[in-house]
Amino acid sequence: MKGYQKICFLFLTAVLLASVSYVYVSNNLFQYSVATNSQLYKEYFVHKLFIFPDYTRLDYMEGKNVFDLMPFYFFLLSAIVVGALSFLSRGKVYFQYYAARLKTSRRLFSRMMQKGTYDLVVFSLSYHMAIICLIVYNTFNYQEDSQTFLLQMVLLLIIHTLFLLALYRFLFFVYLMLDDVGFVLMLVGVLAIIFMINLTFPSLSIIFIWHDLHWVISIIFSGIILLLTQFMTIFMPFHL
Amino acid sequence: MSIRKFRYKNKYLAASMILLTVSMLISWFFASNFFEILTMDYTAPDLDQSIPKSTIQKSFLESILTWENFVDSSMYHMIDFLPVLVVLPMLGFFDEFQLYHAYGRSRIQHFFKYQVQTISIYSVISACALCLALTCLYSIAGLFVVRSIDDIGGYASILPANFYQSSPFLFFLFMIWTIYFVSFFVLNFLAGTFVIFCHRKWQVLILTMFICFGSGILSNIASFPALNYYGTYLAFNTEFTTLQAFTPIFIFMMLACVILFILRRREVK
Repeated sequence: MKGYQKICFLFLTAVLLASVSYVYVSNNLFQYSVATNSQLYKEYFVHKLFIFPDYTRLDYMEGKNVFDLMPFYFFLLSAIVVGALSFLSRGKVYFQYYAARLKTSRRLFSRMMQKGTYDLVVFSLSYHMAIICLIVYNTFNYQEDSQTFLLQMVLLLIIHTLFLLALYRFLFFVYLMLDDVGFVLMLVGVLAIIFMINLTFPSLSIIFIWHDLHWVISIIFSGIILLLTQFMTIFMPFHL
Repeated sequence: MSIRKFRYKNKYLAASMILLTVSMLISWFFASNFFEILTMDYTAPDLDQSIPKSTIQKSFLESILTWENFVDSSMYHMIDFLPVLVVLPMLGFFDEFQLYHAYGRSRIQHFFKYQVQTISIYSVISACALCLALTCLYSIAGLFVVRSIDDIGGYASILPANFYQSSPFLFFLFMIWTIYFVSFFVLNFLAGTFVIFCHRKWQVLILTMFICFGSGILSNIASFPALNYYGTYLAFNTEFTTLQAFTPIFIFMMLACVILFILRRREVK
């Protein structure tokens, strides 16, 4: 698979995943609205899908349920795996031919990460676009107005894509240091640790939603990791 | 045969036991409000300032040191990646399979049967080891915690009435060595069938994880909770009776058997 075929495949996978997550979330919300006889708004879907951990004030979040975190965790996991397929499926041995020909390790690493970065961005963009379409065209009302909703969704798209890029670049160096088993363990572990930190300190919103300017902390966090990985591209050695 | 000792001297087995214990402890530390009690502000205006800090802290600690809170919160943050830790010992079989695959498929008689035997042995070893780790953790925790509710739910329905009320630790031991053991065994068995046709280690881990996620999400969409594989790890908090709780495990075992049947037809004779 190459070129437009691959992009089509990624797009379809992301749309499928988005619709599955949407149905998952809306099932839970419909059950809630039937049980409490309350009205639903479009923002509720976003809050339920991308986790708004203000459990004391927001009634529709229904407390700390493990299964509510699952679609979001699954999306982050599959996005990273889609990106990492470009170097995981080839293996380190394949890249020794690149290493012999390219002059600096910086060029080598950027070459190794290049394809996966495109895949990841395409996957994340199409997932978020599908979610936006599904929520905009459903029959519920806006809690505020359509402009703030779209602005919030675009901000979420930017912070999630930046976070995924930062994590992807960090995990690439984990793959160089430990092997593929270490990569998988670190992937699931780091995601779980970030979820854990974010749930214990909800105001420190690394990937979840919070009141007011929650996206600033997220962008700063992703920026720090991106800067760190930029240094790592210069100082990391490549060895099999 | 000397290759058998590597089934016990397996670095992945030790790694998964240690990682399971450590991640359960970390998960309990954060999910059970223990961390919050240690770091909270005791000079807040809504607390009575005449009572000393140690007394308030002690009463809070007593409220969280219960069996139900411990078992629930130790699973809370790690349930998403539990299948990876469970399947990790099966990578020992991956190494062993790579060793003798090319030689064995033409030399060993009934090679397919031999593979299935090996997968079963590996699964039993890893399930035993993981259950042992869980038993150790629960027995150490049992020294500090007490029971707070009278009825644990549907999984105790096969046991005599008031069994949980009289001996909560025995109930949790029963839970570990029945449903956890069987579900660890079956997940390892499924991963063992993946080992036969996967060429890399990460494929085994990611495939198992995606199948578990798929079962969880499908069960919610189809409103068929018996399909949810994560439900077996939450057996302490379920509405199903003891035998109904085994249905997702049964479905996964069927899946593993189907994959084995397909692989059997591909075998070289």
